[in-house]
Amino acid sequence: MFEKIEVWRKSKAEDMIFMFLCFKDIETGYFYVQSVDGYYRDDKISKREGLMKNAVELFLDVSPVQRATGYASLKEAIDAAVKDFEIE
Amino acid sequence: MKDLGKSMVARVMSLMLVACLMVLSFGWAANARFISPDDWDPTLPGVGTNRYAYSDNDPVNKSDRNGHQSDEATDAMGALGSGFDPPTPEDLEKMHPKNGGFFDNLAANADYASKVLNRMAWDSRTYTGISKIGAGLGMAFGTTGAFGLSEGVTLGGATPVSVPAAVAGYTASAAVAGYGVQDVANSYGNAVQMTNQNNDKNTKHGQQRADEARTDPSRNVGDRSRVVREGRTFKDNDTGNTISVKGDKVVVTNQDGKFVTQFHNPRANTLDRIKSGRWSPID
Repeated sequence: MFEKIEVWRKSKAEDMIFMFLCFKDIETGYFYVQSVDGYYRDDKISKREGLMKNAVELFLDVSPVQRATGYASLKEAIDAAVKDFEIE
Repeated sequence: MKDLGKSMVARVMSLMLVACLMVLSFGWAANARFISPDDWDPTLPGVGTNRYAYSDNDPVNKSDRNGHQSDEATDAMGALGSGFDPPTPEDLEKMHPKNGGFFDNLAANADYASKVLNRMAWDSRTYTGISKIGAGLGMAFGTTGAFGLSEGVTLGGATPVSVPAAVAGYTASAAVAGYGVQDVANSYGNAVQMTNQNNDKNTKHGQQRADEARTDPSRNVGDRSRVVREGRTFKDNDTGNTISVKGDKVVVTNQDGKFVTQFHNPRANTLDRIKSGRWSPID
């Protein structure tokens, strides 16, 4: 079982936000970043729905534990994703 | 005086013997070769029929960071062409710190560790430092020139770090020399410590990229653009989005080229999506 956590961060390079879709493994307490989604000011509402569909699909296909590296804290997980994907 | 002369001769001979042993143990970069055979298909680009060759037998101008083929060939093959069968996600899970960590598993199961290291080498250049250690388990080399600096490394779910390849090379040599896993672990720890100190600063190139990003708001920066630029591209037939794949990294952009999402995806799942027709190759 996982707890879904969304973390938002404003891009330093573009007029957009990054949304880190994270999961906390209830059993182990480890945090995983499943995906990093991008949202722009002029996005259509359908994009949000599309990304939610994608999130469900990713989760069903591969467990967050297998998709990403686990970290003891949410901040560590986010920092790792920022570094991994070189997010500005 | 005669005894003194004998002592000097003995000492010089000893030093020469030690020097010879060191050369035999570690070799020179220019003579680098593997001491265990390559298990990749020799017909793949850059692999070849010589199962022991290092970087197309041109270690001065090329490198062979995944232990199977030259980097040029790896780049040419792209994200999905290697034919390598990596270990399962369950294998990777075993190396998580909560399950004992990397070096415990290395000691307990060399075959499994080898698979993990190979997986790292296959997955992404970010694992370069560790793949050196993995390759080093079957290689005899220890000089720094052939490696250059490696990039980032994620080890067993711990804090991602970068390992200077020179140090990783030393670590690999230590393993070859039979110094034991603990020595490898200690060396790795030293490498981590050294590199973490260096990570506080951007490289000149990194700083340039960051500066460009700040002055050009429409520019996609960093790894995201690298995956888009260098990865294989597919069309998502459900959404019309463009999917870029490099290693296990996936970046999705829309028809306007705007960023949609990015995530890691196991190779098997990527292949499933391609086979099912969900993603169609563009290039």
